[in-house]
Amino acid sequence: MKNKIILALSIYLHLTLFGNLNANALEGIKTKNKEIKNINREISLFEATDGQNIKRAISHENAGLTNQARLIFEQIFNAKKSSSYIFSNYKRFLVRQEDWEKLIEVSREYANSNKGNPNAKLALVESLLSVSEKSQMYAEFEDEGYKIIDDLILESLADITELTNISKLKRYMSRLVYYGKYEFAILKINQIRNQYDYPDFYSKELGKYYLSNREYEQSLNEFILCLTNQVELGKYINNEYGSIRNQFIRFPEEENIKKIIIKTLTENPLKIKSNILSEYKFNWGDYEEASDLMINNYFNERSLYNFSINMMKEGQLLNAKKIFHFLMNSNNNEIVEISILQLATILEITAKKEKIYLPISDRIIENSFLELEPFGYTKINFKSNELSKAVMMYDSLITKYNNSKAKYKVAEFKSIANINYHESINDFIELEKKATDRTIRFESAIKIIDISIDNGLIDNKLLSLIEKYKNKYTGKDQGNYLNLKKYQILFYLKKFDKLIAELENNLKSLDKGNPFYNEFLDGITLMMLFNNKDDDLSLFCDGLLEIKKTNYSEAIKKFHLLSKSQADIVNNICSYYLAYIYINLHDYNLAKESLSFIVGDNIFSEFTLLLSAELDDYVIKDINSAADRYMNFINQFESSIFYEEIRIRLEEIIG
Amino acid sequence: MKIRYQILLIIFFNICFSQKILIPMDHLQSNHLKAYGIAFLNLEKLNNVDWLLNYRGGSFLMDDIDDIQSICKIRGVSYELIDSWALSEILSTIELNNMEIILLEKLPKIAVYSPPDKQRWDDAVTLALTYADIKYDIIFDDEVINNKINDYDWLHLHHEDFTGQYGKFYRSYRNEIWYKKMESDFNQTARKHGFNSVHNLKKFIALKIKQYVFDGGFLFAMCSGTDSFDIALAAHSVDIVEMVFDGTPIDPNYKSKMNFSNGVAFENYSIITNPMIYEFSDIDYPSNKSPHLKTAEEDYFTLFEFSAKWDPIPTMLTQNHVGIINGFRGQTTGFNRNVLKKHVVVLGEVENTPEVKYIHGNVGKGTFTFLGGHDPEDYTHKVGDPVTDLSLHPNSPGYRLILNNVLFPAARKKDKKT
Repeated sequence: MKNKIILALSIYLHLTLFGNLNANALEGIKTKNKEIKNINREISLFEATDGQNIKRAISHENAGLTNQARLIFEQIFNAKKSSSYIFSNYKRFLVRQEDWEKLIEVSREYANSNKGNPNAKLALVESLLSVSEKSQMYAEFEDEGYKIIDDLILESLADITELTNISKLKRYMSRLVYYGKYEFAILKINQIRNQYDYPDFYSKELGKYYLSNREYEQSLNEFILCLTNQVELGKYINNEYGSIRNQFIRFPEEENIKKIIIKTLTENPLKIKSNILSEYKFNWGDYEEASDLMINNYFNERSLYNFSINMMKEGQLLNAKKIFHFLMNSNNNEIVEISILQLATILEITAKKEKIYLPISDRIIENSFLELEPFGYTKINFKSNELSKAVMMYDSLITKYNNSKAKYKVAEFKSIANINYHESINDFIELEKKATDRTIRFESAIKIIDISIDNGLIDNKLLSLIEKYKNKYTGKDQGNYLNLKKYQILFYLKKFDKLIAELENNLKSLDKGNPFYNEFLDGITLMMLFNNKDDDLSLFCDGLLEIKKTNYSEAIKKFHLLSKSQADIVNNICSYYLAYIYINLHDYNLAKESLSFIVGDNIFSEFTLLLSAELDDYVIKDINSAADRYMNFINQFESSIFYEEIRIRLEEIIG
Repeated sequence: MKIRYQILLIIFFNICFSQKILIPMDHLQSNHLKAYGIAFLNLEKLNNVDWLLNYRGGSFLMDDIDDIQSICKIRGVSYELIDSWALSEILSTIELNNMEIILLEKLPKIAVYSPPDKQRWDDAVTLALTYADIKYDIIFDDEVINNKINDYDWLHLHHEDFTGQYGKFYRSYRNEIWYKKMESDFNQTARKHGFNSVHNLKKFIALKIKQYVFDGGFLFAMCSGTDSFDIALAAHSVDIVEMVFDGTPIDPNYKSKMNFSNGVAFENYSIITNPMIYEFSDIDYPSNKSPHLKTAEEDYFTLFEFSAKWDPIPTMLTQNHVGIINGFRGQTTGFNRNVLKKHVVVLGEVENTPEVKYIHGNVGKGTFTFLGGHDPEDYTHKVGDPVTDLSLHPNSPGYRLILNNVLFPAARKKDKKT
């Protein structure tokens, strides 16, 4: 180091004396730099010698030459008794050789060579305490170890407000616990807690220690003690990294341990204890008790709100509702607003009728070019009390907070009710222009197009509106979504040639990974299936538009008419969409009857067979019939993209 | 006219006798592991199965009965329908090449030696059996002591420690709840059966298992179930466990008291008694103590090719669709070639190194097979790691070795030709 300073100074003098950095001066700097590097290299070589010697000693030891290894260790230790690196390696060697007396001797020498260094003293303590356990003849070392560590503790206690002293104290305790000197450690911990006004000292660590020893009651009590510390409490409430919350999860979920937890947390009730118990009850599935406990023992409203969101995720809508109702009385406007929004969502969910679930068929119909609603989709029951309450809540959010999402929801309800679609369109026009959230504005634009299609308002004016939106919404995939809407309108307008040309063009430039690629491809495939039979395609188009308008009786007529077609594929398409209508009307017998007319081997016979199997499996619950149909599918459509999914389902139901 | 009748007759016979199904086990098979389950299911239904050793990766041939085609389809197992002409072609191919037909006719009863509680690590065998839909029972110390073990044809040991050192997890896990529970449960069992320590109990269990094999049982062990079993047998009458495990020091003369003739597979090895070292002995190669010199991609082992007609047993155990298999580590990764007993047959090895991965041998009327490593599809499976999802590895060559062992006891016994 000294050399470095001298060299740096000489360079500095060299530069100041000669003023300008001429070529000679630069050459001088380079030479000096080289000298510095050489000195550094020598220094590092010297440091590496210790490492190399230690490696050599360990190699000798591994080869069974322990005496030689011992000799090397002795030599390098005697040369540098204060080196912690050499000492720790030598110590490990002596432990492996079980040479306890030498270990004590070396530890003493190391501590003496590092006077005033608490780490060296601690190293001696560790050796004394570990050796004292090895045999009765070494028992006396225990007292000596205690005395030294006691002195170290007293040194650190001189200024307990210093953070470094606290971490030193914790380190001493952890060493005592590690070497099994548990009673002495507890004595010292209690002393620090009582005499130095530090009631939660070492509580987190002790809690972990008890937990690993399966002493659950003591562990919980220590963790609760730890939470009297405001920093730890803050971490717990906000679920921060390294919070005590992670320790509570480690308690096994066994009946006898549950009893211990409940007993510990209900004795001498405290707010924090009840709060923890509430979290446990939630994890154990006692949701009602959990929500009651949390309402009475929460620490801040945001954490209570998050607790209720978790209830919703678990499907516990009633309990979540109870908490959101409670939060509606908060003085914090933001909490009130988001709680009302969640409450309205819950009410909306409960107002909806239970939808039937056909995993693959729903996916097929939803991801199609025409974006039909999934099978058995039922509209919201507007007469239900829940929905009226939800609408009232959304209204209050609009009045009080001018909430865009609430406005969108109310407009959506109105449009579904279909009392006056012009009014609905106007609502969304208003939202599309004025909503503060840009996503809500785009969604409103899509809604305007959808409501227009659903009510048969398909004309060139609507196409112009889409072009206008395309200029306005240029975000990722917004253009493609608007294109899809445009293509749907072209389809319903029966401009098939133009549609095919545009789809072909678009597919050429679109990446295959684009989320709309499949929809566009589906559109072109659908038209190709009709094989230039424009009359049939036109009738099919009329039928689908009636489905969109929820005018099912007209749709059935169109499809019956279409089913007179000579083409197998057209017949299968009719069977499929007739079944779709009957399922939406909940007439499953007629749906099954439609599905029984499958002819040929084409994409719609595949969809139809799959739909009939899923209808048996998930709706009619006729497992035998479902298994037969799945089996037929497997036999008939070996190269289907749904093959593996269906095989796994079949394996699940029949094993 | 005569010729026409003859043709019709041939077609008729062809139709009548075209009732065979071939489950190919080469690269064309979509689910190798479940294919073993199909063979097992056939045995369960008292139908025989022909195991075509070395023919298309060790294919199975069976009668097309009992909806076997549908079951194959449901389980995603590829199969081919075989008519009499194709069958005769297969038979002649087998006759002319290093191939053999082994008749599987007995449904083996399978037991896995494992604690009743869920372990903190995978057991590759139970995973393979469950995935392939092969039935098995779990047995542990009580069942072995009560001789229930004799009800089974096949016994599997996985990541167990028969030396009574609690898996040598002392250094890293001694404060963990599961470790302490294991300690307490094992001690309770030892006391219940009148043993003063866990290592004495475990050594007794090892001896019972050896007797089971001696009487005709089939033993398959993996990972530390291999070397710890052999060490427990050799150290039967000597204390080799440190004070931290049983409260008593090790026998200072333990080295001279080791009786290697009691073991089944290894000899002249050195045991490691230090509880802080996660290793039982120098049987394990490469040792856990030495640094990993290879990456997972560089680690593989080669299966030996045996004469199917002369050595059908090792051939059965090495059936696979590949000859080179990805390596996988474990507490016991492989075996040091230098400590193998003379009679042990090497089935798989890491070429040009002392590492042997897969071995087999006879003990009395029975046999043992040891496979080093923990989980063939998880290179370094650690305590607490998530369970391997075998549906993601339906063609695993490493797992195939395990399932070869499961079917092996179903074979009709033939006299050995070598």
